[in-house]
Amino acid sequence: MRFRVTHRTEYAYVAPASESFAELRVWPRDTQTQKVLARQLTIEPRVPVDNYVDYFGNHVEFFSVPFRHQRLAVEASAEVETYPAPDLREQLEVNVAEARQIVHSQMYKLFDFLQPSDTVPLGDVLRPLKQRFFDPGAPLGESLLKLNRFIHSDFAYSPGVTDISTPLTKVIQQRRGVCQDFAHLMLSVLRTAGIPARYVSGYIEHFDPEKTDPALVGAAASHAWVEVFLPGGEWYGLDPTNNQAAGERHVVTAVGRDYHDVAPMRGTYKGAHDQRLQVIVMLKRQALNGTGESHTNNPFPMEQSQQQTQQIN
Amino acid sequence: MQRRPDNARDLFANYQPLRDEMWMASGQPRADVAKLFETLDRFSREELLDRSTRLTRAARELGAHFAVVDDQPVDDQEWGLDLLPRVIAPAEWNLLERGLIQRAKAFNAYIADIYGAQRILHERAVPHEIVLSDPAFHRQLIGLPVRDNLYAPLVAVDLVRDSAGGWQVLENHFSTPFGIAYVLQSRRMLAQAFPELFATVDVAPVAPFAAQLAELLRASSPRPNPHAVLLCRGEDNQSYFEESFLARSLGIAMVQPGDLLVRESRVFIKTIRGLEQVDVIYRRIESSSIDPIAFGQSRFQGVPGLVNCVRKGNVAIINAIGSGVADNRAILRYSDRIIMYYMHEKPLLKTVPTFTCRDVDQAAHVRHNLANMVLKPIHDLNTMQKYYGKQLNLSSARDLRPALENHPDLLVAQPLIEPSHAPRFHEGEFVSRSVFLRAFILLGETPVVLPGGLTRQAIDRSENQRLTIMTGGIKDTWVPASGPGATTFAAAAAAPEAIGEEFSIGSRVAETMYWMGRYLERAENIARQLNTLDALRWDSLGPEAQRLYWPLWRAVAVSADQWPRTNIDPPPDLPDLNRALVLDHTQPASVHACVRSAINNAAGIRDIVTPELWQALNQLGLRLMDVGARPKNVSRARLREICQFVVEESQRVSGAAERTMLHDEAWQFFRIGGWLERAIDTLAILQALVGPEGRQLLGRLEHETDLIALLRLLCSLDAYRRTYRSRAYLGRVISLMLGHAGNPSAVSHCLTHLRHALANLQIHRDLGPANPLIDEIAVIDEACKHLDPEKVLAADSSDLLGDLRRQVEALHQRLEDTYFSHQHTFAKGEQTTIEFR
Repeated sequence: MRFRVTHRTEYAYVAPASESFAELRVWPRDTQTQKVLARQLTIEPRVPVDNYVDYFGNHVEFFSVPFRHQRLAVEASAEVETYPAPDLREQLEVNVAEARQIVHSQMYKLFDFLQPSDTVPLGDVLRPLKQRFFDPGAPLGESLLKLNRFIHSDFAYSPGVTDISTPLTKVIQQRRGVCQDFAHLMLSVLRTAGIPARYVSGYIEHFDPEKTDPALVGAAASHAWVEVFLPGGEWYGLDPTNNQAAGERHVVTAVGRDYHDVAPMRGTYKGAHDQRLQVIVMLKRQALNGTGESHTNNPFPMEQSQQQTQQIN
Repeated sequence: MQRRPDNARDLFANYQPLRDEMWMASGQPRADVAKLFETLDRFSREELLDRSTRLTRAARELGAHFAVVDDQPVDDQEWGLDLLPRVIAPAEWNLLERGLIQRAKAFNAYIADIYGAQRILHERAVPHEIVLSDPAFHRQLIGLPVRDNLYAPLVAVDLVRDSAGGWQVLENHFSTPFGIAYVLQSRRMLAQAFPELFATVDVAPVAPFAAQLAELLRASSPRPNPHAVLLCRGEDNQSYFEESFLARSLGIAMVQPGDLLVRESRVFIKTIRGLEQVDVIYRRIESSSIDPIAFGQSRFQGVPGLVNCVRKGNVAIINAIGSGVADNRAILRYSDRIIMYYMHEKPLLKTVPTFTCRDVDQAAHVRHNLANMVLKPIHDLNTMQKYYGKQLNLSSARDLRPALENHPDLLVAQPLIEPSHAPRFHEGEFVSRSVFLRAFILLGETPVVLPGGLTRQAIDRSENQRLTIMTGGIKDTWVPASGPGATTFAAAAAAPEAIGEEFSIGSRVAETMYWMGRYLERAENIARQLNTLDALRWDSLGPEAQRLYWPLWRAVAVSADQWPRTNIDPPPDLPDLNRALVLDHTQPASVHACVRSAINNAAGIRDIVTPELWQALNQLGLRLMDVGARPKNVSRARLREICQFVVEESQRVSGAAERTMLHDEAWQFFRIGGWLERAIDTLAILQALVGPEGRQLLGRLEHETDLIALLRLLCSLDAYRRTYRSRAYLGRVISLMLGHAGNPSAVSHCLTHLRHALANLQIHRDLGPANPLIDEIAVIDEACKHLDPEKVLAADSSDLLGDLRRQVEALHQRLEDTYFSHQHTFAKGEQTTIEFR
């Protein structure tokens, strides 16, 4: 499938801000299951942007606004083609004990994705769930889907109840949250069980324009899910918010140990604390007409994309 | 020859050497230091006590020079410089020198490997979990360019000398080695207090080390004449002493994160002259608190974007951020392996056996032998707290046993070693006390070891086994000079040190002084005005009069941001408003809040603020805090008393600033802030009176000669009487408040002084007379002088005072742009959409 993703973040400051600096992780990754066809980033006010690739392979862009400004708008757009996930059935049939053993032999490589963090504490924090998800003899794939289903059915999706500073213990206690909470919860269960897993940020197509499926749920601004390391060396995407494996309708932007490795925008400025933040994410499926080259230049002029913008938040 | 009965040798009569480095068990000094003891022998006990006192006094004087103004006085015991130096035997030093350079090189290769291919982890020579779980290992820094792959050119290593005379390494310090200033200053003080000793041994000088460090900093940038700064936080006395001394000896500016600004992947220092690009940063703050963007969850401000400047190769940081991985005490266990792995040589220096408590078996061993072990966190406590914050309870530094159960992965243990001893002059006699050495290595083009180092010595017998860098005493440390003619420095040591280059003052300091000046002026104005208004006895005014006088109160309340400009009715309870205006610190512009802001500003520049100024300011704050705790209980009379106190104390603070501070550019900004605030305040009050609601009052004031209240409000009653020698006429009051250059509250007076202060700044003298800002102020000043009071008062006049006030208020932004933030210097760039593929 081909998507056009537009991620616009706008800060309106009550008093002019100065000395702004920000780092962005809003550049979709090139992976086995997706390819970035074209990409564009616009900053208002206009300033030079530089970029690098971080430790986890994410594209990072950064800029400073060294003069007084009343508003800051960042618009990242990309045209991404997604493909169906490869056949992982064989790897998912391995039982949990075997999977752990294979992982153990590669501990050094996978170390980061088995560790606790401030956001993803392990062990005791999970006790209130009163659940065991990983029976050593059970097939890994089945166990993972069971966990996915459990989070989906036992936790209510309710935007606004939590934010990124809400600790996991509180999410577990309230049994509600949004996609990033569910992703962190799932990471905690997986890592506690000795199964390496990483946090994924990206976008999801909310509803399938060709079908009358029930709408898929995504977070207000962007979506988050997890990827599990399979014994065969593949990363397997699981979306507990929507109780499904990540597929063609998921677009991956960045991966890391937890949210803090992949925050879409992290910045500082000098000025009054009052600001109005508006985030608009738009994901639109494109017709596959096979004229790929025509997109490389400037596939979607800004004016046009603004007309199509629908506000999600 | 007959000896005097109390000479030094007799002081050793009862000396009981224990594993002593310098005094043999046979009762004789070590052969190579015999001359040193012979010289000592020529002095009587009284003379030695006198020399010892000289040393203490010198240390105290130094402490006073370098101390941050603090509530706690500098403890001169902290320094505790002994009059007897520690002399390291030539053969031992030779081995130490080679061993230290070997170690510094090996661990540098290790750091580069960890931030590069991680070969040593792939090959399992060091357990990966120790490195990958180390809070000092920052994944953000992988692949960052580091010149010659040399992360930590400046290294410190802590060593003990065991009973067998062998040296063992206790700890590495590759991140921000601390203590060089203590070495250099101890040498200088001893040479001054006891020059005779220096004639006995051919001592290698320590002072060149600073020059070598300065050279290394310069060589770290490819630019021809690089601009280097020392980046620190200046958070406590100890580090402030070291940092300010080093900055001065290295001839570089000492900056804090707020002084630096990142723009297009380059770092700049903000000075009142403008922005200057920085090429080299001598880092004295912990890696993860250097950039809040790169280290997202950092609790510290840092310099946003700094890491990306390093990434783009536009600035070098010495030691490179991330070097702390070599300081992880858990890898000490693998020291020999690391040295052999990278150097392909046998380690020349032993490392104290270290147990990693993360390992279950080692932890068990530690538990069984706890009585003979020292537990340590994997990094020093200060660093640990920075990483783990409050969630980590390492109970007390002394007792880490609870942590052994809760956080074994954060602990290591080393067996108690028996360090060698050296004589120490203590209360009139020599006693045997343990010593420990911090050595410094510089991996420049030719690696050098600072000849000597920082020797810490126990003062009390009880400290003998548990020496740390914080332990009591210091000993000057001597090693034999290698070349001829190296000793000539001792005689020169009494001459004053060279003064480093003068730097233009940082924008942060100027801005802080400016705000201090403004807040203090505002606090004084509100306090005085409320006091004056209270004399009008609001309660005894009838409702009609209350309505008439309200605009005056409102003007004060509005200028204190306490009352919306649009609200024109008096509040039902005026005393409550008054109390809030004075005491409620949660209201951003109350007297109390202003004083607090002034104190907070002063606290940020303690190195500039004199103790007298700090004390006066602090007393004012404490008093307000006292009274403000229960504002409801404050009676009207009490409130007046407090207002009076604030007025008097503010004047005392200004006086202290005037009388005790160096009248440099920073001080000018303190005054500039005060004048701008006063000009704005005067205009605000006048504007309220000639505004639509004030008019009725005006008529009445003139009629009832209550203009005196207005003059008092503006602190200009005397000025009026002496200028006009008549009853008050409104027109004259307006003239006096706007254009009279001799009236301290007049707008023109404030603007004139402001202009002169700006023109007197060194930068403007350098730049020549042309300065648009100064010209702008002159234009406003002229307008004030020539404003016709009748026109101001004319009912149909457009908002003349309002215009004037806006112009004066706009000066704030102009000052900010020109001297503080430099935001005006950046023209907006061209279209910058970037596109890929």
